[in-house]
Amino acid sequence: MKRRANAIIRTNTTIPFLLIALIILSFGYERSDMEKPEWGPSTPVNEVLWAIGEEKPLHAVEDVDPKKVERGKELVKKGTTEWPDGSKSGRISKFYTCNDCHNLVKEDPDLSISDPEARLDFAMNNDIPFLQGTTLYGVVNRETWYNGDYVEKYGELAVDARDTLENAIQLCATECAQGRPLNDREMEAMIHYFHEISITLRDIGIGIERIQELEKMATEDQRMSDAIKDLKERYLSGSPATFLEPLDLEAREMGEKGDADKGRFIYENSCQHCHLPGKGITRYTLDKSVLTFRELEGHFEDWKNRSIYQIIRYGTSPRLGYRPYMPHYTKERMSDRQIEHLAAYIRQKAQ
Amino acid sequence: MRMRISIAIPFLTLFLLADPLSSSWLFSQSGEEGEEDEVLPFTTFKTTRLNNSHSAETLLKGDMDFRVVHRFGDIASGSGGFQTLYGIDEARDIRIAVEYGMTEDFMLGFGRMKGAGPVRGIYEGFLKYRLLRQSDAFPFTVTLLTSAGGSVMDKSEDPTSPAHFEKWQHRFMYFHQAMLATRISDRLSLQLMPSYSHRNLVAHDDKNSVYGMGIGGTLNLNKQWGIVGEYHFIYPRDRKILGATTYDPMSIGVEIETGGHVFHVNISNSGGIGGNQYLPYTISNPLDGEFRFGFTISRLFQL
Repeated sequence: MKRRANAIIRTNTTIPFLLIALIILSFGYERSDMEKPEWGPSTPVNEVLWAIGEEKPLHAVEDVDPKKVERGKELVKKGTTEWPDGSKSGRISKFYTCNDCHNLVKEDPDLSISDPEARLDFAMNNDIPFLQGTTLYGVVNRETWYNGDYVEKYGELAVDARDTLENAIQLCATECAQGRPLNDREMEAMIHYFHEISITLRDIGIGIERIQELEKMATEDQRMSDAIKDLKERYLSGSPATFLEPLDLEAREMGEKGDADKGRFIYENSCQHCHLPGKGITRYTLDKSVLTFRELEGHFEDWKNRSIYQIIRYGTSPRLGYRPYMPHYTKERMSDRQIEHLAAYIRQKAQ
Repeated sequence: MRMRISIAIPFLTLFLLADPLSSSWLFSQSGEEGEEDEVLPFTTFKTTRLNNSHSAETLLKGDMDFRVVHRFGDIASGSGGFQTLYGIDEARDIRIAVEYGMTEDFMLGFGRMKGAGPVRGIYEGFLKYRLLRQSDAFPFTVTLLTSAGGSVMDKSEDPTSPAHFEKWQHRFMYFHQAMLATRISDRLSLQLMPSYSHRNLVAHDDKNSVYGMGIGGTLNLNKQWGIVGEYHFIYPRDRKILGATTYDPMSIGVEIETGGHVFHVNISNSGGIGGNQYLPYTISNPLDGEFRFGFTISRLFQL
């Protein structure tokens, strides 16, 4: 009996010990497997930030679904899409699609600043449009939207749209594009697409060695404040927006000193992005006939919509019976110097 | 009275709809983002019309054009002059129509005309298709038009009248036109337009089929203002309508682009609007002061 009792005691202590050891080991095994990231230059910055302890935003999507990405991409580029069940989304706006005002690719050489001069050079080297809206590339990396002076334009509407991407998208769809709000399915698809075109480690100049260091940090499962700060300082958390008045008449160079080559690029990739005959975005078309250039040059000194100095800074507003309008360029999206480049090109072609 | 029944003619041209050739392929330039970056290099005319005739342009896809076209009375003939404010008191013809761009190269329209000839109350539909578009590689825009109309006016009891509709088919009329247009310079665009009109019922001294060779164009004075003119040489030459002499239709007008919308004013010796009226029923001699003001209001909607 005694020996038997000892045996029972031994059994009772061994089994729980083994069980606990097994649980600990299995837990450890899982942990090390989950946190062994394999990152590279094309890894989204968000994935790294979230792995090293940065808090996820409301719009965060960890597993991007390629099918939703495709639907979202169509919504952005065409304003409509067909769903797997055969149903079709009606156009978000009958006037515009997102890419009428926003690029979908990286448009700044240095993502930590918003410099129109550097952006124009980058656009000319890479042949991308030079538009009013900030690129949607990296829109999920931002923390605020409709920044700066946009509250002047949209008032209370901009307040909600500043803090969450979904609200910003809805404001863009209903006010900027003069369309309808997105439904849940459309919003989800669009957010998935935006994660597909988010900022990568390559975009912010993170080299292989640093990537390996970040991988190591992630395995240690600690909030790496310095690393997070370092990554986030390499891109803007929101696009600054400063509204400018049209230049005074005395300040307008009327195209005398601008760079006409840059002006040609602006004409083709800003003005004609919407005003090209046949594009159908606006009824006011701008071709390259001498009559058009003379018309534009003839209004240089005006304080009216037909003056490039005025229309670029003020744009137009939707009005009863005619809702499409022209968004204006902020200081950060086109500089006064660049307006002079455009004026120089117009002046040259009007001769 | 000559009669011929031919209601099938316009529908033969429906083959256009099945034509797989899209003119856009010639000139599309795919950008990095794909198919929507199509570049359209030439816009020959400002609108889908010259004065009376269609131009080689079609509406953009998804655009709906609500058009009101008006022709006043004679400016300087017996019915014109100061008493009628040079014809402004009279509405010789009115057309109210809705037109729509189905694709970038295909549009259709439906409208109603008061009618200025012996046949009134005309409902008319048309199809218009741009076959080729001018580019650096090809110097012309080629567009085809086919239309059919029918009168809903009361049957005339006069057996010599073109409105003495014994059969329902007598109420119909057809018009086909090819437009060969070219933009010669920033200022000047020209268009050649062979036309064919067939009315199922005509007066005894008239001909059912009337042919026209038209030439027209626009001269842009600046970005806003342009002068539009057109002239049609009509065959057969010796045709009369109940004794009235027929004349070649001609017109000259001004078009004003006002921030995307085009307002159009013209003077024309033809009273009727639409191919089946201006081509066969122009019986006004401009040398006798029988020409009149007309205007077009066009409002485009994006659908």
